[in-house]
Formats: sequence, C-alpha cells, structure tokens
Amino acid sequence: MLKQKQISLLLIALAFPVSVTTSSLYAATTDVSITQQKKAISGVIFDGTMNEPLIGANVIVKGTTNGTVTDLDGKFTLEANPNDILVISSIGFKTIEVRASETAKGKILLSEDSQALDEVVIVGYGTQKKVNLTGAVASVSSEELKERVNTNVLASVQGQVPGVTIISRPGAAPSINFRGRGNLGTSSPLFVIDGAIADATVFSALDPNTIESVSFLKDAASSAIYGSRAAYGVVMVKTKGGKEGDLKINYNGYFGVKMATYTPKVLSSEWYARLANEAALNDNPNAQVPYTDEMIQKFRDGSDPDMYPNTNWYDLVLDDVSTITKHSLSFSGGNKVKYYTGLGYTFDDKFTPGANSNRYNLTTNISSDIKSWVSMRANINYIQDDNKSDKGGISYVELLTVPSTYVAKQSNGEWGSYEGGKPASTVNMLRNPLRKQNQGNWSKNKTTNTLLNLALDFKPVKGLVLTGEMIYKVYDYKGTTYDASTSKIKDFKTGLELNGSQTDESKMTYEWIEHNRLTYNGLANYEWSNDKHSFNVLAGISYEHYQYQKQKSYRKNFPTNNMTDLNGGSSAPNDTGTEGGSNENKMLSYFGRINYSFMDRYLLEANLRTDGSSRFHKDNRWGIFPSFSAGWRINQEAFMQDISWINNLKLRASWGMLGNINNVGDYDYFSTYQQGGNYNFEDGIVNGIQEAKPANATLGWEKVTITDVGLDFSIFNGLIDFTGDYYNKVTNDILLGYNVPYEVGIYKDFKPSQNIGSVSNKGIEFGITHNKTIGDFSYSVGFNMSKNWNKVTDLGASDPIYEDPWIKKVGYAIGTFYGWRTDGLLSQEDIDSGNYVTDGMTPQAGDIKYVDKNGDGKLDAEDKDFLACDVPDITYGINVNLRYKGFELSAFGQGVSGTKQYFWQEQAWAFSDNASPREYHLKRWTLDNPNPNAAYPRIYSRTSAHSTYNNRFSEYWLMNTDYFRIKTITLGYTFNKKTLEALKMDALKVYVAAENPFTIRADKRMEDFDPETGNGRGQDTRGVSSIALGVNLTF
Amino acid sequence: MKNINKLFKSIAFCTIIGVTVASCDLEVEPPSSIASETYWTSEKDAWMNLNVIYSNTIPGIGVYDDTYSPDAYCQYSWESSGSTFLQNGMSAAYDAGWNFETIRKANLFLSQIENCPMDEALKARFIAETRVMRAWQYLSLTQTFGKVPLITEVLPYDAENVTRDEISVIREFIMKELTEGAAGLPEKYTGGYPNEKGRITQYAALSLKARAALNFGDYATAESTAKEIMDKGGFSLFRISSLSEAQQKEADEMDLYIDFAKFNIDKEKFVKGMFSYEALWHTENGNTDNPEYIMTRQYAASDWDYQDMVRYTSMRPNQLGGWSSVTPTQNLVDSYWAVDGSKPNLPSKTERAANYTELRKEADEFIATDNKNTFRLFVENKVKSGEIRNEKYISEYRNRDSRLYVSIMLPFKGWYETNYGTDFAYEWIKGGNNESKTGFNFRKTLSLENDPSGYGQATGDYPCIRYAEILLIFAEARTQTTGFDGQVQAALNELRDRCGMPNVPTSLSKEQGLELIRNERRIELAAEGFRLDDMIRYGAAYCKEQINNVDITMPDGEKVITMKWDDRMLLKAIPQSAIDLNPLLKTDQNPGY
Repeated sequence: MLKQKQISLLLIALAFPVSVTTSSLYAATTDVSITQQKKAISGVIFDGTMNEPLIGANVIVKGTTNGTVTDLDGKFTLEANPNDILVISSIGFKTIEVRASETAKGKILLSEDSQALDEVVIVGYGTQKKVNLTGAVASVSSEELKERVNTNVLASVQGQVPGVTIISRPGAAPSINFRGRGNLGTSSPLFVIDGAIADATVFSALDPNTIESVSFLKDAASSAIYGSRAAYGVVMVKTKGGKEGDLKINYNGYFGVKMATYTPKVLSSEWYARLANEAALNDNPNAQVPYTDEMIQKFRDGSDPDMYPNTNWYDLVLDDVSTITKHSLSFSGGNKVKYYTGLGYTFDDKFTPGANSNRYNLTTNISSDIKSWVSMRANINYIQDDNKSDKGGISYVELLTVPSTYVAKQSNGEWGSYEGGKPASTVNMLRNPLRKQNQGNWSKNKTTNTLLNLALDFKPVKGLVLTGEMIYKVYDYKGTTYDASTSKIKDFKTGLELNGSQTDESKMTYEWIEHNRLTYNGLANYEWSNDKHSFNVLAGISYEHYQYQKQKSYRKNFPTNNMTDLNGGSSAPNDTGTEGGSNENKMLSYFGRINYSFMDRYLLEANLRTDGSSRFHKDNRWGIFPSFSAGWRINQEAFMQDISWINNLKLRASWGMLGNINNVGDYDYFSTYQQGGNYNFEDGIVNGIQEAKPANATLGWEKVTITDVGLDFSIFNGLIDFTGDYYNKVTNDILLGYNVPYEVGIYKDFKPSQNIGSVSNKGIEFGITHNKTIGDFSYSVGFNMSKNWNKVTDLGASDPIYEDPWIKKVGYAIGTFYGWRTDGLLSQEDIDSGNYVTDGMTPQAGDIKYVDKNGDGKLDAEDKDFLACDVPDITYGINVNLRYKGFELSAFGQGVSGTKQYFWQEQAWAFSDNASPREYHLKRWTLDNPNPNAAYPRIYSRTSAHSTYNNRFSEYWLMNTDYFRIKTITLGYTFNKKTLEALKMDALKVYVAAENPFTIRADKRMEDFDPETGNGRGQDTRGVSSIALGVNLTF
Repeated sequence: MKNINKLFKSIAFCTIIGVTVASCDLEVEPPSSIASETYWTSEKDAWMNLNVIYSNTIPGIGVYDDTYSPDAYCQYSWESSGSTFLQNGMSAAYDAGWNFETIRKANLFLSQIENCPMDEALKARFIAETRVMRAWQYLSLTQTFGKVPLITEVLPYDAENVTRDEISVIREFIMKELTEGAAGLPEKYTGGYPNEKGRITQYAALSLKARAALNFGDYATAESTAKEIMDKGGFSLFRISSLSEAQQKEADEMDLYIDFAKFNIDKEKFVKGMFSYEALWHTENGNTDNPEYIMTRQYAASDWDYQDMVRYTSMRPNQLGGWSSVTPTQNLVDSYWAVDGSKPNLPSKTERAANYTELRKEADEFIATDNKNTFRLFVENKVKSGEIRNEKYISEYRNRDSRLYVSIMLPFKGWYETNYGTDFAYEWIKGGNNESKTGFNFRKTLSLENDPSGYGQATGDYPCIRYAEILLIFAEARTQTTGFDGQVQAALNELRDRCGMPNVPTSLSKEQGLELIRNERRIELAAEGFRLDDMIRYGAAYCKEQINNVDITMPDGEKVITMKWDDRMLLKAIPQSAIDLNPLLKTDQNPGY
C-alpha cells in the first residue's frame, strides 16, 4: 500500500510545479488590434456538393467578433477591410478562409467535412486531430450508423473498420475481435463510453443517433493509456454534446419489416416416412419398415390429418414477417450551458408470436462554464430493454426435433395425441411447440444500463486543465419466468386422458443480477505550443471498484396459471429454492502521456500506465505498460510543398506493451474450500464442502506487445484516401489451465491457471476510399480488408491442449479443428476389398471414408489431423455511395474468408433426436445413386450403430461458411433548401433502407443455414433481413 | 488575487482527488468460500468434507453397466456406449471411467484429518469410512482397466506423470484397506449427527471385501467373509406380509400364467414372493431400515442435488412417461427358470415371431374396429375370458420364474401398481418414440411414481449392496472351495423361498452347481449392474459363447444387433484423452487397443 501512495503523491507533486512555472509564460500575451479602412464586402456561398446556396453559413472576420450569416440565397454582406481574412464555416462543411477582396469573384464553394483533415478523433482521456495521430486508430461516425435497420450498434459496425472482426451470429450477441484472437480465452476489446468502462452489451444497445463518433484503438500506443485492460484494443464512444446556438430539434425514425434470411428447409411428413423406411433398411436389409405405402400415401394426400399429418412447425409457430420501429428525438443547443438530450425508442417484434422487445434510450450531455476557469460536464446514458414473451418461449431446436409426422392439434381441438398413426410419445406431447406457445407460459425481463459521468474541469493557468471525474456504471437485470402447469391431453380416439402428457407442477423463477463499477479519475492535461514546438502532457490517476451480485429464487405449485408474483406459489420447503452469488474487484492505476510535435511534421508520443489489481496476490499486483509511437507527416516537409496533389502523407510507427486480466478470476490466488457435493442422510440433505480450484499466488498479467507500422495518404483532394497498417502482436504469459493428468484427480474445470502460453498475430489491414464529383453527380467507393496470421507459439508443458473437436498446438492457429480427415464416402468396392479403416464397427458402402493417415490399418488418435479453422483470416468490407442532386444511394457489403464451422446433431444429422430431415438430406448417398461425394452419407436412424460410426467429429461435418453479403442498401432523398424554407425546416431526408438483402455463400451443401451461423447443434433463431422506410428531420 | 484563489481551489481539488484515490485499498476476500488455512479446524469441517466423498462414491442404480452385457440394451448412444461395446466397437476414443477425482478427495481427507482437532474415536471411524470408499473406487477401476496407478497421497497439479501398478498390487491394497477399514467401523449406526444411518458399516465393508475377493478369485476369503456377514450381520431377505389392492388384482390374474396345481406351487407363497422381490425397490421400502439393505444410496427430495432420474424416468417406457433408455433383451428373458426351477422350453425365433405377429395383428384389428377400443381393452377382454392362457405367444411366458413377472414388462401383461393406475397393460409400441427397441421394458427397480416434470423428487433410497448378493457370493465361493453342498443349497434356497420358487436340486456336481449359480445370479441380480463383471470373471470362453455372433432379437423376429466378442473386451481401453495428458500410459495400453 505504501508503494502506491508514494507513486500517486509523486505524480501530484510533479504536476504542480510544472503548471505553475509554465503559466508565467502566458502572462505577457495581449491582443494587438490594428484599425484599417473598412468597406462592405459581399459574396455568395454554395454547398459544393449539392451546388445549392448554403443558408446560415457563418462568415467572420478572422481575429474579431465581426461576423454575419448567409441568407436564403447564400448571400452575405459585412463590413471589413479588403485585406481581412474571412473565416467561412458551416456545420458539416470544411471551414475555409478567404481574403475579403476575393469574395466577389464568384461562388464560394464549401465542401463537405467527411474527409476533413482536421477531423478530431477521440482517444483515451482526450481527443486528438486525426492528422496528428501516431497510432492505429479508426473511427466510425454517426452517419454510418444511424440509418441502419437493426437493433445492435455492433452489428452496424461490422465490416466497416479494417482489422476489427465482428461476427454477428444469428440469435447471439455479435462478437468483436481486434487483429485476430490474441489469447486462448476471452480476447474482447475494452469498451469505453463517455469515459465509463462499459461492455459490448451497453455499446450494442446505444441509440446510434446519439453517437457522435466511435473510435477503435487498435495498436498498443493508442490503447496503452488503458494499460492492463487494453490488450485487445479499445472501442471508445463519445455521445453528442450540445452546440452553441438556438434550440435544434432532430427527429429520425423508421418503420420496417423483418424476414428470415434462411429458414431450415424441413421435408414433408411423406419424406419423413420414406427416409425413415430407407434408414431402417440401410441398417438392416431385413427390417420391417416403419411406414407402409398406405401410410405414405396418407401423409402425401392429407386424407387423414388426425393420424397422418404433415406438420411444419416453422409455418405453424413462427411469423414470417415481423416489424421493427425506431424513433429518435433530440434537442440541443445552448450558450453558457450547452445541452444535448436524445430520446430513443425501438420496438422490435420477434418472429415468435407474443414476444417482443422495447428499448428506451436516454442520453443527456450538459456542459457549463461556471466561471472562465471552471467548467462542469454531466453525462447520462440510460438504456432500458424490456423483453417479454406473453406466450412462452419456443425452442428452435424443438422446431426441428418434433417430427413432421406428429399432429399439432387434432381436428377436435385437442392437442396432438397421434404420430404417424401411432399414439404420440410423451416427449413430443410435452414439446409440441404450438401447445407450448399456448399453455400459459410467459417470461419477462427488464435490463437497465445506466452510465453517469460527472466531471469538473479547472483551468488554473493557460494550457492546463485539471479534471476530476466520477463515473458510475450500473447494470440491473430483473427477470421472471413462468412455466405453467398443464392438464392431460385427451386421446383423440378414445377420449381417455393420457398420463405423462401433463406438467404437474407450475414454477416461477425470479432472477436479479446487478453489477456496478465506480471509477474516480484525476487528470491533469497541459498543452503548450509555439510556432515550432507543440507539447501535450497528460498525467492521471484512476481507481475502480467493481461489484457483482445475483439472486435467484423460485416457487412451484401455483394454484392457478394467472398469477404474476412469486408469493402466489407454494411456500413448502420442497417447492422453493434460492441461490446467490457475489464478487468484486478493484483496480488502482497511474498513467501519463506525452505528445510532442515539431513543425507539425515530426510527431512523438509516449504513454506509461501502471495498474494494480485486487485479482492478483499482493506480491504480483502491479504491472507497468509503456508505449512509444512516432509519426512523420512527409507532406509538411519543405521539399513536398510543390507537390500540390498530395494532400496528406504520413508514416506512423508504434510499439507498446499492454496487459490483460480478463481471464483471471477474482479470487484465484486464494486457496479455499467451497460448497459442493451435497449428500443425503436420513432423508435430509447434508452440506458438502470440498477443495476448490487450487490457488496460484504467482498469477500475473498476460502481456501483449504490439508493433505497428502504418501509412496514410490522401491525394488529389480526396480522390484517393488510403490508410494501411502492418502489425505484429505477440501475447506472452497467457493464462492457461495447466494440463493436469487425470491421475492427479483435479476436477477438469478446476485446472489451475498458469502464465504459460504465447500467441502471435501478424497482419495487414488497409482501407481505401475514392471520391469524385462530376457535375451534379458525386460518388465515393471504399474498400477495406484485413488479413491476419494467427499462431500459437508456446504452451509450456501443456502442449498440445485437446479441446475436442479443437486443439491448441504450437504452430497452429487458435480455433483449429483437430480430427479425422475424410475422403468422401465408401463405395461397395472399398468394402469388398477391405479398403477402409475403423476402430471397431464394420462400415458399409455409403458410410464416411476416414483417412488412415499413418497407414497402420487402424483408425485411432494417430490419424487425426489439423483440419481447418473456425476463425476467418480475411475479412473485408465494401462501401459504395452515389449522390445525384438530393438523391443518395449507398450500399455496404461485408465478407469473410477462410473459416469453417462444425455442425452436429439436428443441425446436420438426419433423424437426430427423431428430427425431421431437411432438403439437404435428399442429396444423400443411396443404393441407386452411390455417389462417393454425396452431400450426406447413407441415411440411418438415430439409434443405428452406423450413425455412431458416421456422426463422430470429422472433416465431413465441417461446413464452409465463407460468404459475402450486402449488409445494407439505403436510398435517400434530401430536400433542397427551398423546399425546407417553405416547410420551415433546417433539414429533411427520407430514406428506404434494407438490411442483409443479398448473400453470396461458399456453402453449396446444406444451403439452408445463415452463413454467419456458428458451430452448433441447431439454430437458436433465424438470421434477419429487413426493409424499412425512414425520415430524418431537423428544425 | 483572483489567480491565487483559482490556484488555491485547483490545488485543493487535486489534493482531494489524489488523496481519495490513493487511499483506496486493493484488498478483497472471497465472499462464499473458506480459506484453506481456516478449514480443518473442527469435527464439522471433517464431516462436511466426508459428505462430499459419500456423494461421489456411493453408487445408485447400476443398470447402465448392464448395457455392456447381453442382458440390457441402451438405444441411445449418448447415454451408453454399450451397444458399441457389444459389437466390439470400443476404442481409446471412449472414456470408460478413467477418473481419479474421488481418489483425490479421499486422499485429501486422509492427509488433512490427521491434524484436525476432534474426538479421536470419531476421527478413527471417519478414516475407516474413507479408506473403504477409496478401496471401493479402486475396485471399480481395476475391474474396468486391470492395471491402474495406485495413488494414496494428494498429488500436486504439476506432479511427475505416474505409471500403472500391477493388478496384484491393486488387489492387495483393496483387500488390506477393506479388512482394516471394516475393523474400524461399527456394526450399525444409531442415527443423527454424526452417526447417521446409511454410513458405511462394518458389514458394508465386509460385503465389499467379499465382492472383491470373489472377483479376484480368492474364494476362501470370499466364502469366509460372506459367512461372517450371514452369521453375525442380522440381515434377512425382504418380505411383504400382505398384498395391496393393486397387487391382489395382478395376483388374481396369475392363474392364467401359472398352472399352480400342475407344478404343485403354493399360489399365495408364489405371488407374495413376486411382490416381496419387486417391492424391495419401491420408495416406501427404500430406506436403511430395510433388513436386506447392507449399503444404501440415499436420496431426498431436492431440485438442485443429484437425483435418481434413472429409476424414475429413464427406464420407464414412453407409455409410462419415460424414455426406454435401457431395456431388457430377449436373451435375459430367456434365462429365467421355468416355474419348477428347470430350464424353460422356448420357441424358436421364427415360431416366436409368428406367434407375436398373430396376436399383435388381432389386437390391431380389434383397435381399428372402434374408436373406443384400446390395447388395454383388448388385453382386458383376453384376461376376462381367460383366452390369454391359450395364446401361442403368451405360452412361453407361462410357468416361469416368479421374478420374471416383476422384473420385466412382458407384452400384453398387466401391471396395476404404478401412478398410471389399475388399467395398464404393457404394449410394445414398435418404432414408437421413447419406446423399447427390444420389445420389453424393465419393471424391476422402477419407482412406481415417475417424475414427469423432471424436478427431481426421487426420495426412495437404493440398495447398492443387498443381502441377496452375499448369499450368492457365499454359494459361489463355497461351491468353488467345497462343492455344491448343503450350506450352498441353504443359501440359494433362502433366495428361492423369498420369491416363492421351489428349492434348488440337492445333488449337483461342482460344475453343474456353478452353472446353476451363474444363472441364479443373473436372474436375482438382473438390472443391478453385475452382469458384465460376472461374465468377465467366468472367463473369455464364457463371454465368447454368450456374445460372439449372438443376435439380440425383438419378439417379432427383427434383429436389434448382432454381438461380437474379442478377448480385448475383457478390459477397457485407457482413454486417449488420459494418454494425451500422461504420455507414460501410451506404451502401456491394454491389449488389443
């Protein structure tokens, strides 16, 4: 403790003398005004892109407060000396300077600000001009996010930023990774929203309209200021603030409809029966087939739907189309007190009837100059998600596993009691998705995320800003689920109640999770420059306290199914239960940064952060993370001044070291005993206490070293803009569960963590944009791509780590599948000549042909090979934007390459858990068409030994999931100034936007899954495409 | 002046923040676990740690072990690899239970309790209990894998890799631990903390010793140990005193199945025998006071602790709300004695198929004629009219061992005790979802109530060592040492008497005696998980005869699987996943893998 106090006092002590001495340098500066002969100066200002008069542009005589604004025709007049410089600015346009004497020569054109060289990006604890960046920072603005028709900001960012891989699996929260997977556990970036440490969930749920910009800090130098948590990059978000001026009201809203991108193509019951027969005969040629021709005929013609139905659960249970609506309203303005308030509402209807979510967003930013030397900032971000399902959830897996031969509802109104002419199984009667939806189950939950940031900025002397900040982020989840009791189904034929078709006990479960993080920051920022040198120094301290708690309880046996409170249930001890959970961690940090630039050409930056965490033992608690970077703006050099077509040319290089702590538990260094393994004695439960995970007091930080070299250039006024980077990211001391042999007897999830692994990621990434204006027509095209080479370089004594079906092995990428190679399917000749390998069971023609890698005639672990990787190595995005007068058409596409996914059970295998087969199973191997390269092997029932033989993990079940898809297309029309004037509005735009309209997929085998689907046994939901109509107006 | 004010306030501001932040500490404490240094300081600590060992060691129903024998078939590959094993398809890819977690827990207990302040007598008993449970684990490990590493201390996670010890070393260790353990244990417990009923007793330890000795071929020890339990333990076979209404209903129908007069069988004794044998596993009799229960796996109603789902759901057919996960085979059904104790006359497979198909067709036609007609009604008519007695298919189930009727659900046979009421008859719904693949379902060990919501309300205790096994151990061991003498016959007749079957023959050679005992054991202990270990004990030749190219067939003649035998199947493979982590095992894999 003594140590950290000393460091903090030292920093404070250092910061003050510097600030006091430098302040004297400024005392002598005074304004000198020269009076000259003035005359009326006038001119016309036009929007260079739209070729329309620009109304309301500011024209100010440089260095004075003398100014005016342009009128309806873009004209202005003011008094000025002809030699004065006029500064002309307008929001959204590049500010230009014109000599007063030259204003009359013609239209003054302002160009849009999107490519502005003086663009400012947010960086850790501050902002920086993009041109002065020495690290690898990419940013995305609100413009690129707000007209996207999805409910997830992360999904909107997908494919926009080179080097940032975002994967949007249908039904799952998108995952994000910077520059490859850096370690063997979680390598998700740090999210910082308005200074608060947040997470992907909060980021995803933000209202894109309230976002001013998002920065992605990719290299060590940019993110080092966040030290121990920035190892895998930082995503920084700044929400909009108030701008000086009158009240502006902006509304952006859309209404859209959603459809599924892909729905599993389930075969009819006729085909279920035919394939079941085929499967039975494949297993045993003498088998009695389960379905007679007569039954198959009934399935086909639907003549006896109470016995031989053709049930398609997707059609019965899901809506084909559902709606999505979004409204965002903001108010902003101010003078001494600047304000911005954004309100957002999103309604997202689900494909499941009765299920929907409502999201409410509130963002308020207020800043006020209390005195000339003190200002206050307050920021509130509040997000509330209300999810409910009035009719109970459905299981997408069960939509496949309840067969099409089972009757959903009998013609007499009773739930199905027959299945292919036979009494239905209890399991299917209980799983009947239509029944489940209508039996009185429900669930609802509310999640709130609140981010509060209160800051005071003191400016005691010129150039110095002292900031004290308190940030509080709190997450709160409350969810209630009710599983109703149901009565017995009456047999359709006999009318008798069927035992086992009921749920006797109703159950309500209530869960509450809360976690919060309190952060105090103390920052000192000092800027100083003269015409050659420019310095910026930042020093800070930060303390964080994170607390988590959870409580879950249930009651059973509710007297009726319409109660909504836990107290309605039985309070008998066997009918109630409860469970808790809590943990906390703390962190104390000191950090500093120095930026120096000389002649705006040579840029240097150095960062240092030291973090102490409660998650490590006292003796190993502190980590130090330095970084350095440099930039050379070559175009600023004197020798480049004549080359006018180069607008920007910059070389960047950085090196830095970062830490990661995400994979360390809060209490890993404590040797403990814990609850677990209760037993029963004398009809009562007795408490069991057992050894917990073995402690490791020597745990330390995972260390990531990133070297980055980058080049930025911009030529012919934005005709081509390029930014590219090469990086080498090395992760050392990765925390790995030690490979403990079984004989030691440590429970497999209790493997003690060790700092032993290393992983290397090398890659290139670039983004290139091209803009051109031809008369009224202008367009821009952007392309970005990144390629990453990932390799495990060290695993200590734990090489390799088998995580069937994956492997972690030195020399191979993380996410590598390890299993048997296959060579299509076995032919009858193969069987006859014994040209097959097995580890027991004798295969037959049409079964999978495994490759005997070592040629020893056996199929065993020695034959396994490194098959493929489930992480794409290439990701790319293409952006096209066309404008003609008020029309704008933009499209954005994104793709990945080099990835395969493993599908199993219902997702791949016919009749798995009695699932209805899908269209892709028709491409199977058959006796009539014994194609050794068929898309599916010989078909068997789920209990067949051949299913066991074929369905183990092998190359055969890896599906190619490379794809390119158009993520969004937007057609918009912006009304011109005249119309706006008539409507008394500042801006009006209407647009139509489509999400995921087209997909090109590499998979030609299954074809009925969304290519963004991940490894798994079934689709949890469906991918979504949508089309929406929107309007954006400001007045 | 203003500047000074400004400066002063700024300095104050920074100081406040600086001091606030710098004085924050970084200490935390785990909120729900106990620091190791403070554990092992009281008797209660030892007791709670021992509870975990109980929970990990004491086995419940062993029917899944029987799926590795021809007696039971598991249709789901994700529940058991038995059918793969029976087709000689096992390899190192399967983990047959190479797990040392319980051994570690026991070793940790034994190393820590030494210094735990508590009553020394209780400490000695806790140690004995733990040593017995550790030996029990080793018994099951060595039965599965043969050689295993003998580990008696707590290994650090980065310990040197270990190699396997010879079978003789393991066996010697098991016998020593069980002998010494038994000596340190009470004959019974008085109940209540810390002497709860259901803890390992001296007789439970001796039973394990007898079981192990028989398994290791040490017949003298097996015989003498079993004898000691028989003489001193005070155990007896469970018998009911009267029949319930539902049992009586079934008993009344038994006339259709047994020609009591013809075989000179006392009907009352026979039906009481049936239900005495069956009720042994019913919830109301599943407790430590049952005179037949030597060691008991105990259950209490609870959501969040291990529950006996197998007897409450997995084994039941769909028509009783279950999954038919494990079902008995025709092979097992065929092994039941005729009612006079002789071998039954069985139809050929084709005869049986024809008989079954004929009766099934009649039932289907009956059901099809009227919506009110059910399978149950069909059976009821057959029973009321007495026609069932003459059905060709039923004839093979007539005049058989009393245990057959309560161990196995036979097609067309009624069962009235369950929560599904008094109008249930077992129907083999071929091809039905969650229905039997073999034509039969188990009835033995099943709970009468099921747990449809899966909330785990199983409360019936399960006898993981019961007295009947001791009688069989004694009979087998003594036949081996002395021959099929009066003592052997007396032990076997105790079993026969309880289930209402006639006595065993009085004059058999040693070989004939052993053959009889093997079949008696197969019947008496069916579904309890002993069969594969027994077969392996009888030798490779016996296994080959019972398994190699033998079909498991459904009543209608369709084949379920053809079994294959290879001598490698005497032991299971060390799993590849264990070899991956301990390469020393690679060169010491069991033969044939």
